[in-house]
Amino acid sequence: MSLFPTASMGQSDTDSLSRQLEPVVITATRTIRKLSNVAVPVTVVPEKVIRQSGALRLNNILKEQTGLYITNSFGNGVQIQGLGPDYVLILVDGEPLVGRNGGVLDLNRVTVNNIRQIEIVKGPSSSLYGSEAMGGVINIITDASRSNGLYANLRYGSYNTVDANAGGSFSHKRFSLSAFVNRNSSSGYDFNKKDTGKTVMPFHSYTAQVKAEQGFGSIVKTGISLRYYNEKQQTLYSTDYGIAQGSPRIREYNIYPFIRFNFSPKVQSVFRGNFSQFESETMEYVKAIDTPYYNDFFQQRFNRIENQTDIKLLETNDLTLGAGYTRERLNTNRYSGIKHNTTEYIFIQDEHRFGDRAVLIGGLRYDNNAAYASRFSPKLAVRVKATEKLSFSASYGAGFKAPDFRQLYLNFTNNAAGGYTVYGASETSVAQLQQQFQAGILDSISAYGKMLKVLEPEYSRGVNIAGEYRFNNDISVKVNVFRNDIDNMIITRIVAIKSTGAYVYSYFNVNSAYTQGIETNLKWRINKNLSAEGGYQFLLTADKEELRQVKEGKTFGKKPGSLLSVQVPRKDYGGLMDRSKHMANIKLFYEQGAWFATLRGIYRSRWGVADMDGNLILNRDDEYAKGNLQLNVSGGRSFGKTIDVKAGIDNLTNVRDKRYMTDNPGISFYIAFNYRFFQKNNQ
Amino acid sequence: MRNKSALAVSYFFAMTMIIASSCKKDDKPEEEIPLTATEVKSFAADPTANDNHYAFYSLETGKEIAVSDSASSKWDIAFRSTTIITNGGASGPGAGGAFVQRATSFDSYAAIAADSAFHTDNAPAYAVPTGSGNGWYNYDFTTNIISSIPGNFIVLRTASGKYAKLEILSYYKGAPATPVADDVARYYTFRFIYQPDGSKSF
Repeated sequence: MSLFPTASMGQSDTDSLSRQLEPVVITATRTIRKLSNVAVPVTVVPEKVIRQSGALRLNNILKEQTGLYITNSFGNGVQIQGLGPDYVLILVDGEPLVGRNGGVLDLNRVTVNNIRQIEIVKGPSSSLYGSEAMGGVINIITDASRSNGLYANLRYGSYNTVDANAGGSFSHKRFSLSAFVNRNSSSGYDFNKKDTGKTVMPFHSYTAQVKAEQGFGSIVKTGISLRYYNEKQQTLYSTDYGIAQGSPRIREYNIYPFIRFNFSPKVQSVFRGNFSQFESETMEYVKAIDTPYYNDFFQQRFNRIENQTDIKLLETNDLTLGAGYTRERLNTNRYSGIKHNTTEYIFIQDEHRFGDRAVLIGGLRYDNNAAYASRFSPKLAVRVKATEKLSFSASYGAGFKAPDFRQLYLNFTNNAAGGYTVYGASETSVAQLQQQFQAGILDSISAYGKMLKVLEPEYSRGVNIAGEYRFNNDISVKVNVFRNDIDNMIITRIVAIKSTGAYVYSYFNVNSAYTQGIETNLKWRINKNLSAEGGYQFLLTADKEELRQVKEGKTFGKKPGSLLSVQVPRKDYGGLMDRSKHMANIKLFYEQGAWFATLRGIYRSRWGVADMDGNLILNRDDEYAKGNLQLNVSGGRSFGKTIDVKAGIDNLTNVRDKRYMTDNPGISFYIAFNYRFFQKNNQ
Repeated sequence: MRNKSALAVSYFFAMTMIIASSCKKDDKPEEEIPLTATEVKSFAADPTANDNHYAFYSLETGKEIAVSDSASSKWDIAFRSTTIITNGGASGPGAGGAFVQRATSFDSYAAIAADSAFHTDNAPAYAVPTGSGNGWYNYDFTTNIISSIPGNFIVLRTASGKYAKLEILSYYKGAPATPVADDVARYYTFRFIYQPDGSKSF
């Protein structure tokens, strides 16, 4: 880690120092641990890599990490070990971000300009984090003030993309303050000039963050972090009534206070709060007839208080106890009325060390909720250092995802598309359907309509077994084998048919799926200037019921161009949609004097996008989007201690897919300047 | 894709013709004649949705039956939107009935098993169940497309008590192999094998 947020572009004394220091990670155990002592699969992306890669938003940098797959639906979400964005928890400084659309938290909302490091924990971690931590947890550690200084940087790139940042920090005795502001804007780009509007419409966004901390004596420390995000994007599209336009807006407020008590070197307790609000508002008009075409309002409040107490027992055990209370409130015109939901939880974790050679961690969390069934989430992990060079780790964990508001409370009739209705599971019941049937509103009730009941959380069990071999200080290789079994997946089913012929849908715990594979990473410091990293993930997935049907020869499909049914052989079954079987990356980082350069290649193989032959499964070549290799380069130099300049080209080979990769523009260029006004290293 | 589908359909027709003509050349026509599939293309099933009536078809004669004959035993099967009825029960005076045979190859389905139960229409429950995934089709609400479920076909008893198997191939005009949202719906393309001798084998 560098000592200052922007001081790490070129090689400097602090960098060569930091290379010797072992990275630490907090997300894996909710306590600060050396990366080499962690028993679950963790990736740490340091600030320097983020800067040198020229990433602006969280999706840019996650895309370059092994095994992470960026989805392109409802914004950009991330898949970990083949588990989709609904199943990945995104934290900022340990606190969850809220405001998901279609289950996806859009990573474009998160700037990476004030980040010290990104921690990625793979596999289920609900034993520590509760709901959503099924596929993994991504924790963005924002920069804390460690010195006095002010900085500003400006980046300009293709499509009029402007990213401006300013920040500073100040500390005096036991008080510290840091502030950061980012403005990001773009004119967007267009893949299809013929239709109305652009593929990506012009937008701008602001992020602001202020952190203040004050210590009192040696025992008490308190602080608060404030975060604000505001985004506005234009929309323009054609409708049957004429061209519609609007400017959807997103606003996000986060307040994170804390107070920490260091009762003794052995006992520490922290109370944390998370008071967040996410708001999106869309009002689109048909200009010609001055009539509202689409109006959507969505406001989510998330309030949480939590205590975590860490106790050192003997010299061998670290015990962590925690409890919390969450209250959520949802106000939207999509549902009938304001909805509330509360969760209480407790968790316990014990880490036991067997000398220097082995560590064993056990954890358990209990989440209780009024609207759906409560859940126990256990975890067990072990890491053994076989030799100085070789170590093994294995972990078993449970994850769950609570039914979201949509699945509980949606009450939506789409009159534009034939009048179908979708009810959240709490918005309808067998009795209610029967009433509607008797009143003649419904024509018939399906078998599922007679089975409506309280939803259960979706849950998963994940196993990770890893080996790590360090040939020497310069070369290391890691291999991790994983398997996740997901049950009770919530999907929509038809519960009734209206007398108009339109369907009524609701939500059920029906599907089961698995994801399994191997991830491997290689790090090689070739010489003092050049280092290389390579990663590869092999992934297999399946919906268990689909797979069973295929194996039993009960699934038929159609050959491209044919109307006749043929049996789908096992080898044609492609598993879950939107997953790449092979993903790989190779990254080169070069540094000499004040100069740096990077070359990064990111490959993903074809991924399923749509059913073409009516069997609703992935079995035909034309049901995939084409795989691709994307190359990014960047380089720059620093001038003294105050100025850095860098430039880069993303998507060097101009890979584009106008249909399935609308989030990926063609070749794009950027240049960035960074200036530090002053910096007093007082450390 | 449309060209390919047209090719496939014409190929299928050509094959049918070849098989049919080769049968005619058979020296012993009085012996068992292999049954051949008949394909009906883009049969309009209330396409404007304004007429609000079924479109009727006779498997025995291979012809459309006028709406005015809807109360007779002249028709065997009828279509309206995604709903399919047979001439029996609440739908008509005939001896008709049906069931959906699932996950089976149409061509290799040689005989109706003795324990197969034929259902008759009793609206709103039909012998061919309505609704996505229940009977002959899947509805994809992201693309708004109705696709016949590969491997599912209808086994039916005609108005006069004979047997047939019938597979829906497309729900769109011109039977595109890969329908898109702009294609015109409510046009059935189907193939069937009708057994005139009253037996349950094909």
